[in-house]
Amino acid sequence: MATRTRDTAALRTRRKAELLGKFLHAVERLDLQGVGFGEASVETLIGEAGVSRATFYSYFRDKNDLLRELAESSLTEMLDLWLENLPGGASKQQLSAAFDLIIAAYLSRRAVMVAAGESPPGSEMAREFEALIVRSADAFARQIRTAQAEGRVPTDIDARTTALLLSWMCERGLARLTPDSSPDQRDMLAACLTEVYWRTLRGKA
Amino acid sequence: MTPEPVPRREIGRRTRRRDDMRDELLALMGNFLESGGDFSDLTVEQLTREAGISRTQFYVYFEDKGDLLHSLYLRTVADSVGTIDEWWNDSDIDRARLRRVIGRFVRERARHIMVVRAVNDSVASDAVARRAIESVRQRMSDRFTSVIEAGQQSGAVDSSLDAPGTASLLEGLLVRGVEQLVVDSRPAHLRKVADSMTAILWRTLYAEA
Repeated sequence: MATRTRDTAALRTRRKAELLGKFLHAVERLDLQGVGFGEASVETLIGEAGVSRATFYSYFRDKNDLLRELAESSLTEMLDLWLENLPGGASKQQLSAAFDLIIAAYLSRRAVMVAAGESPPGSEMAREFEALIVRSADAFARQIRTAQAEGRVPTDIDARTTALLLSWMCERGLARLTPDSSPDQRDMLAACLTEVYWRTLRGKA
Repeated sequence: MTPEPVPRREIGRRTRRRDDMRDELLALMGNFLESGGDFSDLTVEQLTREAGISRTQFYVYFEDKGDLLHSLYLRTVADSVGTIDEWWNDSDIDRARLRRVIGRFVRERARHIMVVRAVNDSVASDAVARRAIESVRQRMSDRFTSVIEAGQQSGAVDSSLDAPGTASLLEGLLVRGVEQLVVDSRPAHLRKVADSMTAILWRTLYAEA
């Protein structure tokens, strides 16, 4: 019995991940057609994703719940990319390569990230989004503290405040990239982010 | 009678008296928001009653309460840009002075955070206000770009940095970063925000090696 429950839960988790993938693509396609997440109805979303109404409501309370889940999975994915690609003592080249990956990941989730990041302040979605950025910044702050303990980053900066400020700056920088941005514009953003992060934490060289 | 819509404006006042009434309405809205009031609960009637003017007079100054909020926001932005200008006009800035300017900027933003939040809230449904605010940020970013370029020419700022790209990121840091971090407005926390902000700006733009 216990095993069966576990299987069902595992199945549901897997099914939900699949659904999130479908909706992620649906939201991006609709956005490219000029239908922003805010204007899209549940009908439009499930039609574009090819998901039934019953399935939608068995996994999500409403459209905002879907957006929250999409934003969470997107930010988790980007945070994982960051952590996997930046081991302790990473070089400036590694930092720049990590930003390339984050930018590519962001662009394929842009409509979701913009809809979630620009929700009205004080709304539940805005609070959830803020909490997700804070979670990423906390992971980044732990990296900074480790590097401070190992003597790679100066100890005169507060790890958490600096991590939060840089994370919000990065979020803004990414949100300003348009869907039709050229590879040059993306490279420029990666280069500028690399310089600000590297100089702040490691110095000029 | 429907009053004639008055174009959105923040300058172009005809008389001193008008100026004073305009200031009073801005102050009333500011106090209301900063004491925790919700913008959507505020009515034009409330404002006119407190200011002791008629509804028709209100519309001489502002198109609607959204226009009033927007003007209030522009004024707070103008104030912060004035503060930042002390840094931007100083071609020979040192770290201690930068820290003082940023400290003042952070405190001012913290004081006006409710106005900022109300504006961010309103732009979600007001495309005109959104564009106006984006253009304010763009101007700030453009000005920042020319400050970085001038610093590169004088040798104060590393010439390998891309000026517009770096200015755009650092403008995001000043605006979004501060908006998010000053919700906790205890002085010790604001000092920490100003310290970190100064470290990021100083090390990115000016620090040697």
